[in-house]
Amino acid sequence: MIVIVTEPDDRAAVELAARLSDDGARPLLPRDLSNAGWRFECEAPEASTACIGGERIPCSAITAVIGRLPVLLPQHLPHIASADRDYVAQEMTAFLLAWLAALQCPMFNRPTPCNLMGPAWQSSQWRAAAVRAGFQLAQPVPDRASECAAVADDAIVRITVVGNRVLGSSCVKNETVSCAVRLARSAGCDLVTLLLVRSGASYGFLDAYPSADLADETVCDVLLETIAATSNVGGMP
Amino acid sequence: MMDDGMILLWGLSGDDPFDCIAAELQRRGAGHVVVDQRNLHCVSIEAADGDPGSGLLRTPEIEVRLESITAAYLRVYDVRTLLSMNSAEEGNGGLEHALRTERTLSSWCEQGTALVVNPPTAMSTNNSKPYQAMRIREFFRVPSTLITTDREAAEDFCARFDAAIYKSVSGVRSIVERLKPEHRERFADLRWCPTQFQEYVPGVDYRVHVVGSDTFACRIETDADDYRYAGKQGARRTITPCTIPESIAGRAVAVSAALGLHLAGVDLRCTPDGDWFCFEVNPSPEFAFYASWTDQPIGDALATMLLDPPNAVHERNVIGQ
Repeated sequence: MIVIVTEPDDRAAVELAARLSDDGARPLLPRDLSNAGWRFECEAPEASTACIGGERIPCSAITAVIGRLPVLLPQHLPHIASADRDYVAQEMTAFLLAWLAALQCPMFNRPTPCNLMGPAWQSSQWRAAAVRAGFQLAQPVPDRASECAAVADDAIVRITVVGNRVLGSSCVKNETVSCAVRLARSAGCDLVTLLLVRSGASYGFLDAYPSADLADETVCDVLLETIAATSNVGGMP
Repeated sequence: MMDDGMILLWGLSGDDPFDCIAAELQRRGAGHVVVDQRNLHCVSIEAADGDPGSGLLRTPEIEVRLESITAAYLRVYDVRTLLSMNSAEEGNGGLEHALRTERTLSSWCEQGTALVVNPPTAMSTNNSKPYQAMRIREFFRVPSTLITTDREAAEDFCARFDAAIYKSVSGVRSIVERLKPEHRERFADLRWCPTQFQEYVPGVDYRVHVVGSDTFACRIETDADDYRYAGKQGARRTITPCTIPESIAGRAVAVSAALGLHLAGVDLRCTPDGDWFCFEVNPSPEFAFYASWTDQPIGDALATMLLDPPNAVHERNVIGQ
């Protein structure tokens, strides 16, 4: 079973889970953490049980996880009394971190203490790592929210690293592809999207985030192929 | 502009551990720069693009090149809460500036070559007690722990032990309480949020402060389930300096290092049978409180470490992450 940790407004993730439901994929939504049935013992994580979509699932049945939520926020929990939402969001995030960290199946990406879907790197950290990976830097923008507005759309190239494969890279040089793989490795990511900016014949690194566009069928197909190739043994240790 | 080895102190003036280190550095005549979170709207930092180890830090008192900072002590609070209590003159712009400054400073802490006590990522393992416990298990026994939304699972788990306690899963501070019959009446509410239960481990509490490879142990005797709240609960509490077995001190140093912490408060309990359990490794310990009971020179040791960072600090940070 592939579990996609997401929230209802993440349409691409919810639709991917629906498309793969016959193969056992399930979206794990914040609301699922308010269902009786979760059991997690730190000293015996292999005996843990999840409760997803109302169904009790032994964690040994989980073959892969796709992370889409860096953290649970109070707004993800409309079913919780408003006075308790902050606290419950922190508790659920802390629980998910421990639960995900104990799973031994392939994970896109493995959680870190500050981010349930991979490294909690700021833009400056990605850029410093990109330099070490061999990239030239594109002119930075003040913050991530404005980065796309600051650079003409047709000048931005998004490439996605999925495992050992690099997608969307047809227009960039092999050297850039190698840099992208090195960057993903240094970040400990099996799934990462890089934003590059064209400058003449070359591309400069702008930013990255440890996720991918699941509305892109090619990305989804390669992600599923990668999961199929790596998830021979799933579940807990 | 100060260009020699500088120590960065980032936290809140008035906070005992923070003031203790500032006073110790002052006493030794060591160059240091204070980034007080209450004044973050007056602090600016410019880090070099692609090389966050380089840049310039400006506070109302001083300008410092980032590359001249050889060590940093962090005891940081949530700036959103702090600034929301400040005067309106700072407004949203002040808060945004403060958050941006903290992000840049955090990034420097994670990537620079200075000794950072402690790097934010290393400190964040404490945001999830079971996550941290799974790492502590490599060094110490930890109490049996269940996290559940399931009434039946909680009943089964608690039935396995003479007594059980419950506490928060996250880093939110909660009073550890032994489970009583009236708590079980509320088990139906467990479904709303994963809740953490632990076997109750009887014994005597020990707090071991780890500073690099030095340890300062003290023994806490109390009638309360959670000694931190003994005063509020009208319970007895005494804290005395003590010696612990060398192997236990060694494990306290090792678990701190494995978590990437140069300073830690390791919470242990020794059972009547002589078994040592570890409950938690606090990455930002209130060491001044313990030192006020024990006269242990924890602040002195920390200041010494900041002034003379151990070798291979950067490698150790990376390993810890």
